Amino acid sequence: MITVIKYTFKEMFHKKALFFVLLLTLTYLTLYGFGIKEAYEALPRVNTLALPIFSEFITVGLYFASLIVAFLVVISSAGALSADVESGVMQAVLVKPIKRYEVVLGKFFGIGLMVSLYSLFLFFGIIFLNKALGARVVFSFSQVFNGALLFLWMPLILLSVCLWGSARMSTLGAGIMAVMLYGFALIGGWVEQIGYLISLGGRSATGLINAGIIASLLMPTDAIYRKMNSVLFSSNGIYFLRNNLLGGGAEPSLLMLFYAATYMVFMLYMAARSFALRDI
Amino acid sequence: MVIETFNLTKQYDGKGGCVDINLSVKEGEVFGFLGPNGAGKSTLVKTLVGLLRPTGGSARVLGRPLGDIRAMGKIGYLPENFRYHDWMTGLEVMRFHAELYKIPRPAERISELLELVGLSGHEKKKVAGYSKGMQQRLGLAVALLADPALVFLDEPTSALDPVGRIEVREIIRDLKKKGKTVFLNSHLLSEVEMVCDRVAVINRGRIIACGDLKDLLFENSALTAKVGSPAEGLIEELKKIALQVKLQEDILTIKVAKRDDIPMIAKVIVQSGTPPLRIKNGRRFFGGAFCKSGEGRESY
Repeated sequence: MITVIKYTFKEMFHKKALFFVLLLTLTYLTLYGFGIKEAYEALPRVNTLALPIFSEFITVGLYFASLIVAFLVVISSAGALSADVESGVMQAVLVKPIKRYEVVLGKFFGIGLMVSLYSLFLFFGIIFLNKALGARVVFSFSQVFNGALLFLWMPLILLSVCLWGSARMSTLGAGIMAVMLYGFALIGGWVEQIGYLISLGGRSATGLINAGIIASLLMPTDAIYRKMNSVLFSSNGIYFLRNNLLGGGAEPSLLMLFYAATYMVFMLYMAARSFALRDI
Repeated sequence: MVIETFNLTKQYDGKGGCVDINLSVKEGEVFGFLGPNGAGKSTLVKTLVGLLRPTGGSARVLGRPLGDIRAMGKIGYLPENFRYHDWMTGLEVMRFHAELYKIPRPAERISELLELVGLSGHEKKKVAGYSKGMQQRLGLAVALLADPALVFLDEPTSALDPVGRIEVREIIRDLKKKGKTVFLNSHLLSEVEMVCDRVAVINRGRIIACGDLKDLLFENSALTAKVGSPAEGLIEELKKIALQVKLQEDILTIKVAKRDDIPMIAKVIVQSGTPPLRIKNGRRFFGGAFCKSGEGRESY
């Protein structure tokens, strides 16, 4: 499996898509940096008024960063198995003393390692830009550490889904399935938050909230994003972004985190199983 | 036996593939598997190496069930339609596969094999820049990396020029000398004839002939004899020995059941007082199998 991890990681550097994503990232960070610089200069000096706005900018930055990472995951993993099957590469690989599940896990860890490094770069890049350009937000070590872990967990969940799709269907099919599930999660997250905001006004919005929960069950990435927000922007038990569309009125419970972990392991199991049964 | 199959079947949605394949391949022999395109040759090989899951029957390769990881370490396989990671150089491809085989210190073996297949000097080029023939040579080198006891070669010369074909034949003969077993899949009769000890012929997914190459080459063979005007009673005498006798103008076409019947046929013709002007062995393809399939072509 180590061999597959090593070569999958190396292969990522040879994908044109990676350079496209890097270019996109640099463009994004430049524009984002320019935007927050202008905004922060115009903000009042009083911290109590500015603090929610700093938090808003950071969460918006991280939100779009998570979309770029998701894009990288889909383009690098939707064909991780299927494209090698379709091109004939896999024929020579599988007729070796290696189990098929080792190939699946090797791909997961190889792509996952690259995606994790990239996610961490983006996460700390956003935090650093904000701090360097004047955001007067103080994060504790544990906030940043746990926030970073949650941020890099999202693409790993998406990666496990992509690999499952890639193990049993074509590259295009796997890509479409992963994008649709990720889209459900995003929209579900907004719907749930809108439901929460409506319920704050005293009106019942159980349907909207339940729709969001169902979307999170189908793909728990958005729930993890909201958990990351609550980890980053909670201080002394007060969560600053509760009333924000990208925040999390109903903070994901520990049960949801457990569900997300189980979901990822289950997807990997399904990927290994589907690939073991696939005719090459 | 190195390969044993028992009614091995692989079909796609109940169609195509190969059906009820019963084969035994002995250690150290070069076994040819011959058939037209789409007959099920590659399906059988891919099933034997564990790439396809059988839909019926069973098989053992190197004494182990299909896909067994212990057997895979002793198998070399050159697929028919394959590609290697085109971002790697030839050398990197060899190293990657050597690592998959868990070969310790493979450098010497790699350079020996690159030399053998004629890729020395090209090993640092990206595989994307290799011609089809070079890719096939690289595939052959990869198949031989682990010094395998059993080598599956699926159309190993399909992309090679005549010189390359001769070189591959030499490699196969060399493998035989070293006691390796070779399973050669081909649609080229000439290729199989030149290197194989035994062959099986597959058509429409079923084996229609299997056995020793020399026997199959003669099975139901036809002789042609130019005889001028045949003596009275000759045809009746020949019919007692031959399977079929036909006279067309001054040419007798005589189908024989076995090779040993040929001297007897010649003797009968001479003793009848008919001087044979020419007797020609109409040896061409595995007689019955070829005729029964109704698709007689030298190259399937």
